[in-house]
Amino acid sequence: MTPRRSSALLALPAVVLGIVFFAWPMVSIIATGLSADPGRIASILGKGTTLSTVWFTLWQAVASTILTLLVGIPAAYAFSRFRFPGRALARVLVTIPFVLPTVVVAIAFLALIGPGGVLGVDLAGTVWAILAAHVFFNLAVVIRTVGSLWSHLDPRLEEAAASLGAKPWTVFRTITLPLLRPSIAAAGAIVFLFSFTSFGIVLLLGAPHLTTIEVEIYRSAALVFDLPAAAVLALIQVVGVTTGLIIYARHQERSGIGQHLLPAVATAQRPVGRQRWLVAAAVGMPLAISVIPIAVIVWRVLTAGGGVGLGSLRAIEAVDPSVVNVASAIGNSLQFGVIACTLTLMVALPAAVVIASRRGPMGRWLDTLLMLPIGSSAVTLGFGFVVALDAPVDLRAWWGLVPIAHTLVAMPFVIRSTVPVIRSIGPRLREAAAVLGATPGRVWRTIDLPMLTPAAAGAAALAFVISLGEFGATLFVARPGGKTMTLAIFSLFGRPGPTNLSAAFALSLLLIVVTGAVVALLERTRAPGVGSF
Amino acid sequence: MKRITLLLAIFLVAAACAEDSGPATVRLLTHDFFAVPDELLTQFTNETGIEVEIIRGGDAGIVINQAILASGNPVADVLFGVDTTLLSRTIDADLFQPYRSEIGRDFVDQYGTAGGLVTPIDFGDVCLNYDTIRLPNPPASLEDLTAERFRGMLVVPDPTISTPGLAFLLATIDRFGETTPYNWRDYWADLRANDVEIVADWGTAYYSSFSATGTGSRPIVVSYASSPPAEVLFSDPPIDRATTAVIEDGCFRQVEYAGVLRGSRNQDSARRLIDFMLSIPFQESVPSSMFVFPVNPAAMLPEVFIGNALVPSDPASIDPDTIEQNRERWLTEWIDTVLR
Amino acid sequence: MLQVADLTVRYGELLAVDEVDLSLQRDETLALLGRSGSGKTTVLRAIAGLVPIVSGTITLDGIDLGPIPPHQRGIGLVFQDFALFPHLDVGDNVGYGLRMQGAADADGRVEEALAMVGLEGLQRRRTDQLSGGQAQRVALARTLAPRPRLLLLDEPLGSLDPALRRTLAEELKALLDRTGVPAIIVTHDTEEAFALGDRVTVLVEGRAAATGPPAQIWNEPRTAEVARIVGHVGIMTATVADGIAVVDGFQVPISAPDGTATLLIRPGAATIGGPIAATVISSRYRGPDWVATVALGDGSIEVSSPEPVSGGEPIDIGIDPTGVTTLA
Repeated sequence: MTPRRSSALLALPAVVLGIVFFAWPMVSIIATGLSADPGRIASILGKGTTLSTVWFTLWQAVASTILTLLVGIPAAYAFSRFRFPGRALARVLVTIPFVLPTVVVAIAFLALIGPGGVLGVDLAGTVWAILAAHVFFNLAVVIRTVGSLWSHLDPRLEEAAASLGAKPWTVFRTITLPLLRPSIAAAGAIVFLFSFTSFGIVLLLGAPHLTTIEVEIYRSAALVFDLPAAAVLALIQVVGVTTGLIIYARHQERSGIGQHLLPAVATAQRPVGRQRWLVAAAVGMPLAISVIPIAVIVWRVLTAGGGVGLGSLRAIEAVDPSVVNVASAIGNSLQFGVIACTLTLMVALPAAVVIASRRGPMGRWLDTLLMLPIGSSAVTLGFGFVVALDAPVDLRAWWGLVPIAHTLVAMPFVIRSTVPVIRSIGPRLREAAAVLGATPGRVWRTIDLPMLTPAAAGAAALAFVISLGEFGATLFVARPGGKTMTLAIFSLFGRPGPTNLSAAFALSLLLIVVTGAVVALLERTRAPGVGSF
Repeated sequence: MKRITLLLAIFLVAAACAEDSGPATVRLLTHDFFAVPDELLTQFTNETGIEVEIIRGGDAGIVINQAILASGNPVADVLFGVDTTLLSRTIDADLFQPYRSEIGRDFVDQYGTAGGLVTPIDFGDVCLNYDTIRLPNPPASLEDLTAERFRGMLVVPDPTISTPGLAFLLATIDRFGETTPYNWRDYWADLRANDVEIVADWGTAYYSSFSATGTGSRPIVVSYASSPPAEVLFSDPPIDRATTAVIEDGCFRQVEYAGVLRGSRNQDSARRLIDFMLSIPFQESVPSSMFVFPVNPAAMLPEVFIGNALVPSDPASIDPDTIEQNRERWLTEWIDTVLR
Repeated sequence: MLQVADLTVRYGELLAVDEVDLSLQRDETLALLGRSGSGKTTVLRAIAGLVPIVSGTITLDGIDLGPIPPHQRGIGLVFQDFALFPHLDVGDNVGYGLRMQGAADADGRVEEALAMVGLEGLQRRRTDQLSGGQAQRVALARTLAPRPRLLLLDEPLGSLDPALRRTLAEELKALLDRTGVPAIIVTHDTEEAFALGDRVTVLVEGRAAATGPPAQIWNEPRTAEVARIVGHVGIMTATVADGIAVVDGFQVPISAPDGTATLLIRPGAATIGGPIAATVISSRYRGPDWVATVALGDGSIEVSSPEPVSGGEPIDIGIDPTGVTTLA
């Protein structure tokens, strides 16, 4: 084989971005916090509340991950192995929650399972509400990551096992599950990271005694003004996340099984007989989890101001622009979305090329390290920007920090969805092009690039949507100018008055519609090859 | 390689833009709930030639911590949004450059200026609101809330996370005291026995648990004195009177301050911005933009505030230094009393 | 026109190709025959410039190809899995090399190349809608369209079913004759190698073990290994004394020193009825006749039989001495 290893330099933009706008600020703020009062570190660590917070953070994250996998894996199976009416729409619907702002989700959940909720049970302030919301949020990660690998698995392997006398469950346990393990681990890792660092959901749906490390950091930093405590907690969080990622990377290294992947069309079929019920159940469950809270939001928009209708959308216009400038919020969101999306592509695609061409540990470590930002404290990073980015150029109040923060969050997803496609292009096609007279540059332009385009388009749409729905990092960055849509929703929820509430819901609906449209587009351009997201 | 160059170029251009804000721009660091009509800002720019760049950094606590971390080398020129409970911390961090505006000469002192370092801009009262339909006979005092007939009726935002929640806690501490035979901890133990609900933030309390504006069943909520007029002002279809009202007892007054940040390179512009914030047009805009009351007595209140709002005659207040020294202990004791 | 001398290729520790010499004349087709892992594909890839060589030289028309990158070698390579570009349709696949050359009238030449392989009018077909045989032809047309100086085919029929293989092998042969492009075909199938190659080189563990016209390779495989690779069965050890080799009851004069020698008895040399008493191991039906495998010495030979015989039965056979050769 030609040693066509892409130059590691291609990963430089991603690494530089990660160091300048993530590692350096995090290290700075944690160092600042720890050095402020070194004597307190031990006492903070030894405190009973610290211990119980860490314990709760850990177990609720594990529980959320397991529950999400339990609901998500059957759905991934149904979505990837069967064709049924409305499949595309269902895929869009289960993806929307992933990008909704936590404030909106919290209000929707409270309307469902809160005091006086539609479902008649009051779970607010219990761990159940937190777990339910985490499942709601993260289902798409499992369904899409696991489903895309599943849809390309060669069904003959399972057939071979069955013909060797394995019962369906045994086939699943001994063949399918091990083959899916890399994608289940990847999805599980992301769900775990999101749940481990969950902030808004735990804050709004939990109770004062049910707090995650991230909520404690917020409490220490925002109200108690205890920076050393915040730093210690942030450090615990970073260490926890890094440990998790190392275990995950090790695991991925061991379980990298080369396998023959088929085009998805070849593996999907119409369900027959009893399968119909199984598919209906496997799809119906996540669909219900995703759609019901969304429906609550839609219902509130439709019924606001008495009658049923879209009249309450006018609430958006009715909001005093001096209070919350909704038009500029929409403009800002779109603008940040476009910038974050462009930047993500520019930075993540070359990194993906490097990761794809190196099957060894180096590529995998790069891949893993770039996941760190999604598992880190947004409050801490926001403070880190203030401490670290004052010299040589003062970037602390630079508008670009917001799209850059969005880029850091979107990057792992874009890398995850393009690496398999780049790998699937395979050396054979490039060699074929070379012997037909294509220079290396033309090989990239005529083979790699066009084959990557659908995946890149999907990745771009994903980055755009992530930017649109991002809340935590945006909230804690000192940013000039106006608000984004999620911040506008947050602000409107923080003000009394019925039209403010209506406008908040109407804006949420707008966000749902935009997200739905982009996700639908993403569905259409989905790579014919293997894409993780 | 080309891509890297392009990226670098973008950074440099962007960095250059960030640097080159020019002398005619003044930067105002504030929280996400800050609001000002655009036309007032335009008017300020027309009169002074100074552009205002508003930098928002989350909620008040976060913004003030950001400012403290950058003390002496500030991100902006003016900080707005320091309230009574946070003031001492900013003074200890040596955040401000002294400035006394001529405009406020006659009225700022009654709200405190921390020795001329900060300027009060507005004040608001955190008060109990109640549902006038569900509760024709509201509690008249804090003490009533522990009575059996108000059992399970109160919802309070968590004082360890929420600013209005903290304000309400402070009001109870001011009322019942620390060392008295029946102290604030005893009071909260009674509230707990009377089934008080604690939720994370104001929005959840007001829009979810409160029976008048949320889906919940609790007719008494910790909110603001300005909440009822907001219900009228932002109702659709329009209504004349709010279905919520304020309980005058147990309010806590929070003053919001602004100050010129130490290390600002635009001190003059910063001072003019503070003057502007004390001027009648800005002061008259604060009720409807931020649901707070102007400190400038010459500012007229919007009509809806006159009819529906209530400025409590004797709200509780605690000296910022005392708050700073005791906050952590109070919160820990509150957690022990109410949550454990 | 093509000279490969002392070609050596390593993959890390593994010596894949070990000092191989090859030559190819104009208008000639050379078949590289070997088992999987024998290094035959690596030889092709080295000629195409897709693997770095450790030592040796490859010259084409007197020019050393060493420093020339693959895209400038003007050598066509048909991959075993065809490597059709999935994002391009048939026409664009076939026209790819022409576009790289900046050739005028690319469309015409695409049409021409497709006509050559019998796929007229399929330009706009997507590659995933092609049958295996069609994909093979498109791959061939794509490689031939830029008119390469040398054509390399890596198991060109390897992924097709047997019936199709035979037809396509004939077509391929005709096509190679018609275009006159010198070609090297890699295959593990003796029949294919013999059918397509003017000469055949047998590779064993990275070394060229034998080279020659098919009949020569078949008749005089020289070594037991080559004999097995081309499909011979009747290989056994004989004792030699005074120029006579003896295996069980069979004697044949050979030119070899006293001691032992390895004999190859070609198929067809042994017939039923004769002086040698032997034992049947097994028999199978092959088409009009049965084939009995008969134990002889430390090996066995195959004998055609008009009727089934069963294992363990005694059988008398005769062996034509001209059908016997010695192996190294």
